Amino acid sequence: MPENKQSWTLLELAEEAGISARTIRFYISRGLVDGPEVAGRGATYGRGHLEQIRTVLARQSQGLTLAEMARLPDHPPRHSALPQPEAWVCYTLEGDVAVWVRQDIAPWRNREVLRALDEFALKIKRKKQEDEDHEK
Amino acid sequence: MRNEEPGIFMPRCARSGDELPLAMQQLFLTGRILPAGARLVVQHRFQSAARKPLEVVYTFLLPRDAALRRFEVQGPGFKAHSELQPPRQAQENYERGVAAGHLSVLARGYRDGMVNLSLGNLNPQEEVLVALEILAGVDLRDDGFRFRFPFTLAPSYHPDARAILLEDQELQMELPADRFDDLLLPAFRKSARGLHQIGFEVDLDVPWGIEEIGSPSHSIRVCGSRRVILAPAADLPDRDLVLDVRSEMGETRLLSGQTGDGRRHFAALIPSTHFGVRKEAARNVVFLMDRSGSMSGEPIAQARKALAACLAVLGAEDRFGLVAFDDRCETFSAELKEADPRNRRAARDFLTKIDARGGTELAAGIREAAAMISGRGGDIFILTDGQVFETEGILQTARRAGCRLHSLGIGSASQDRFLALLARETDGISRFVTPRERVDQAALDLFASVACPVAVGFRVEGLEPSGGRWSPEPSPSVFPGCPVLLYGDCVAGTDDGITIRYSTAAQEAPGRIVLSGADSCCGETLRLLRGARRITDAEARLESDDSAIGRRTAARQEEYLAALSREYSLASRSMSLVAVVERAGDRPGEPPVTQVVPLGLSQDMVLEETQQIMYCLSAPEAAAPPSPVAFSCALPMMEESAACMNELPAWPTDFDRLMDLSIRIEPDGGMPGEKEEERILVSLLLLLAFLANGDDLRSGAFRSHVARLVDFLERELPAGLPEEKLRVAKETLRRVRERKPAAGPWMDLAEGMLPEKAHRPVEEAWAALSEKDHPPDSGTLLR
Repeated sequence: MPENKQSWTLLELAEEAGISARTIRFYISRGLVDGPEVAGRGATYGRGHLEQIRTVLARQSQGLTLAEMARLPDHPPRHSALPQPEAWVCYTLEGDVAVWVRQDIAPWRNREVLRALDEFALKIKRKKQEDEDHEK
Repeated sequence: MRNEEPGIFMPRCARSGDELPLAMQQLFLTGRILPAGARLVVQHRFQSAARKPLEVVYTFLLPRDAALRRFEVQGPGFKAHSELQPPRQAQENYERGVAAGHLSVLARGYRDGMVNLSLGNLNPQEEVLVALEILAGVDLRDDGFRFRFPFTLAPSYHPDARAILLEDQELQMELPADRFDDLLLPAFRKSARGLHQIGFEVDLDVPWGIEEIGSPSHSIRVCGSRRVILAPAADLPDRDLVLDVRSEMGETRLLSGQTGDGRRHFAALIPSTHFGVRKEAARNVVFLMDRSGSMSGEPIAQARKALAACLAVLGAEDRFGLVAFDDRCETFSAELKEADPRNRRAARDFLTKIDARGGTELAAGIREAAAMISGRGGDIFILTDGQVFETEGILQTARRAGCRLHSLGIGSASQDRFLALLARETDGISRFVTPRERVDQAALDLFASVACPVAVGFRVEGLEPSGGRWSPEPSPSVFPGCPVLLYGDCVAGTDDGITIRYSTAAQEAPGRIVLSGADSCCGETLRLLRGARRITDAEARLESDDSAIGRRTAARQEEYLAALSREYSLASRSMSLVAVVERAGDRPGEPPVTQVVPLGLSQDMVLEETQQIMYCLSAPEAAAPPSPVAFSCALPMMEESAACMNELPAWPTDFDRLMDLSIRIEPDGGMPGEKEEERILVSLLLLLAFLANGDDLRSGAFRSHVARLVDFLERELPAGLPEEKLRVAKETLRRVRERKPAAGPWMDLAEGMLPEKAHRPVEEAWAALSEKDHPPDSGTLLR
């Protein structure tokens, strides 16, 4: 089955996941996997369903029972196409140089990065100054 | 009739939280039971009260030597029959049917004789009946047979299983998919109330007549002389049905009938008495005791006592070992020990320290016990509840051990199918006891049976008329009380009878058994019973080794199994049963909601036991304390357990007292005493106590003890006694041989004569012995 396929029937999904269709129906009935994206005739399942099934199988291999999984806070695991947002800060060091730094890094790391940036900024400022002096 | 009892657990919809009423309403067993096996129909009635289509999965365990024949699915306006197909094809057809919105039914077999019966797309308010035909074996004996049908399934041990105990007092278990594929286990509920109802109405078909019918598991009613019906209107699915049918075989019997292909199929039942009696010889025996958590409580206490009594039967020439196993093995000694008084005393002390704990690593126990026997030849005597999954690997270990293995299954959830196979595959015999029966009594009885086979090297050499075929090969060892059952077929139309030519190790010339009699059975039933037995044997021998060679062997064996299935039209692990019913108005839609039918915890199981199983599953190395969830449930169950204990008879019973006395028998076969005369006296008293209890040289659980006492007395009498006492003693021995019990306080006197008693009633005892033959008014010699 092509990896880029976006929707599957239950039987195709079962083949992709390597488990029986009945097992997937059982997971859906237990609320561990979402129901089909399109109900009724031609019910389909997407990549999110496959990820949910893989999560269930991975948790089983860690020794969790289905009942224990149902009690987890992230149950059922959601797998959206849109990634989680991340906060970044932009330092424009010069008109032609900008550096992006993630905002949620540890404070000690942030201090290190800022110290390095400070040095870097001084260095390119000095270099720029030297170049201007040389031209004069 | 719907399960809507208020206040009990109901499965709920994962999304809405709404209750989902249980769709399986009733399970009703009918059919015909012969001494050679049973042909049964199990009716499953499903009715959905849900708003959406349901997929209902019912998990059950096959009885011993059983196979599914076919099913019929019936509903409003439709009736369909199953087809036999390879599992993958059957599953694909089932799934296609479910996807198309049709009613689909699949019966697929898995390891350990477990079956998932799946019924997909049961519409709201629809009522569907699935009638499943099953062929099953019975536990055959010279004096009748015992039939067992599983109405429940016990949570059992598997090292890789996952389990959780929920607040609502329900145990959920999941088995590893790499070993059990997509098998769905039921939830095990503390109480079976509110689950589906069970009932039965079966006919017994014994051509030579029935003397007695009983059931230690259910209240039954017997209509006429053959029909057995559950006495109450319905019962709970929390224990197996066990029926005991007493019907003395007496002589060799033939069950036969013709089939449409012109063959005459038969089952020959040859009682063990046909082979005569053999004197017991010195033996090597290892007692293997299951001390897993599920044995806790009364079973292990009784097992300890039973083993102590078995030790008392051993003579000075015998050698024994003792292994207790859970997920570890503990041995009494590294090698076999002589059964002298010191070793037997030490073994009894060892037994008192054995408590229930841990998992059920039976294979390790068998390996340990076999290593002790190691090439000397001998028997392993197992006491276990057999609550273990993935039994094929254990069977493989047992076959490789090269010892005879005799098993006693304990409890309402012991896996009869597995334990019967374990014994048969190693040339031994098996028995089981229900919670309402005494383990110690059954253990003694079994131990007495296996003391010495009446025939070894038994082999069928041929059949007459020529062209007759037989299979499977019977066990080469024949034990007292256990008949030989031989299935075969020959050309139809010969009324001259069938002759079996056989040989044994002790015979110089082949023996002949002539079976005569007209056809009395359905030939097709006998053919199917033979097929079910062959399929069970083939399934038990499926290679479970995961190596490349093992997988190749397993593939070949599965092909053979599929061929057997096709030959007999019976399902197996290599062939499933499937039916798809296209109802008017069916259309593809949302997948049905899957509901696994829950079962009641077996009647004698309590929460502490399931907790023990869970400990072993979650942490085999170091058992963690119970979770708060589990512990909160423990107290009411412990109270229930205590209540069960209170129902036991007052302690000690006569049997207990006899057991305590029998444990003291010395290796030379006599009772202990300070002087030889006292030893003879207390041995005579105990003999009379046994006789009064119904035990003699041929029957009763203590028959081996009786034999040892008689041997001792016959040896010791001439030298040790004055003339008058000698006469009284000989008279007592005569009574024992002639099975003539005498009234008297024999047990009280025997207990009073034990060496630790300060004042032993020696003269009173001799007087009582004398009076039994010459009442006081006719004068006594010893006053």
